[in-house]
Amino acid sequence: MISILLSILIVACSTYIGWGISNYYKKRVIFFKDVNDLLNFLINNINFLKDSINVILLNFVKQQQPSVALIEIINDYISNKKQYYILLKKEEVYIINNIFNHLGKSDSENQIAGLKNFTFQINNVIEKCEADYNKIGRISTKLGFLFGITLAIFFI
Amino acid sequence: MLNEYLPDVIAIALDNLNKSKLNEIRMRLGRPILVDYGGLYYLSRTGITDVISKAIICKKEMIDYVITQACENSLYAYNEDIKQGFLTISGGIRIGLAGTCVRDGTIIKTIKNMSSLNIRIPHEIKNCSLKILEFITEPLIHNTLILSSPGAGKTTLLRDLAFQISQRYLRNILIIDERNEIANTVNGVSQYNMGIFCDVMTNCTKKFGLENGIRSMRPDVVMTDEIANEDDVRAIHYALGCGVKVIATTHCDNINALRNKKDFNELIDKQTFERYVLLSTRDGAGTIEGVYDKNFKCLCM
Repeated sequence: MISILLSILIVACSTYIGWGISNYYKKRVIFFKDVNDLLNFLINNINFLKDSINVILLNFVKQQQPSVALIEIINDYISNKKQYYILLKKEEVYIINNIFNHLGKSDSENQIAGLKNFTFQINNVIEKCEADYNKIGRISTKLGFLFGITLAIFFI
Repeated sequence: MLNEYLPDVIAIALDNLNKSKLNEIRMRLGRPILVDYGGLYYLSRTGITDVISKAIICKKEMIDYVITQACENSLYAYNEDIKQGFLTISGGIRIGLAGTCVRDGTIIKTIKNMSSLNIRIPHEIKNCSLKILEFITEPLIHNTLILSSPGAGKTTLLRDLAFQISQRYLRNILIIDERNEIANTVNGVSQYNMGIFCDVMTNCTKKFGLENGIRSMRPDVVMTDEIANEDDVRAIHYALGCGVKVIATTHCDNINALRNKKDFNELIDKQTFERYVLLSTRDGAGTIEGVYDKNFKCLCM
């Protein structure tokens, strides 16, 4: 009886870990797509309305409702707090930091040119993230389940 | 309100002062910070002082901080103002900038390496125009030019004239507020009581404001600040040709010196303005030196 319960527990845990890994890759894709939306939003608003960065960022959060991770980064930027990135790799942190450090430092022409350059970089990151998700994320829940079953059989 | 734009050391020092008496803060890189507090004083950590050794010395970080705050971290949104050498922040506070101009041929792209700031704090002085109001508005509203050297109260007088004419004569007034100094609008709402008949066009050139504003808002009186060049004079002529009364200001420290301004010759010769009001700082900002008619005959001293 105990071994059956233990097996179920192992399968559940293993599946959950697999789902967590899948979710991680999925969230990364969503995050960078949101960053891409943010860049386009900034380009349009800086070009036309010329509102201040904080106003544009708040409007973006309000209108587009991006992922929680991006909202947290935006809120930290607005309140001048240190930004934390839980989903990102080192080189991606560097790009995101560069984007936020670049904001508001030049006239609209150069600002937009810079943002377009970042859009290009982010699109490359999105492509990689999507490839990772397709390669690892999509099957990790199933793999977790199968791994759990294998372990359970081994225990039984 | 001003404190949020200033570094802590200056903000704390200003907390010890009566802000209603504060007219100007001058920050020059590597020099003591000066304040116009009914007279020029050095700013010390505890308030004002006459002793230069106690003065707060202006550092580059302080100037950068003020500019960053004034631009709301968004240089692109303020670059047009920076190119003209000023920033206007909430409360109608104007920050004059001096530094190195970045040029592309003849066009100024921006100003970098800011070395001096002049922070001017406006004051709303209700009824300051009453002394001259009858000369401008009786029997009809006259085209009027207010003259003074910088900092003598032209804008304050213009603002009060807008309020008085709006309230007393119930005339539609259009204010062309090129630098957002007169009405100080924040999100489209004037921070001063300009009367209920006032419309304000902010951040537009006089040419655009006068040509389009007259067409769209049908004002009886147009008010604008600091006529400076040929384009402004042309715009004034356009307004007058439309049958609208104009009340404007310009920098000039005496009535005869106005003739030396080349762009104003036509205005004077055609007797465009029917009244001239001369201000000075002789007994403090806003001292009325005289009201003159179109022939420069003094009507009141």
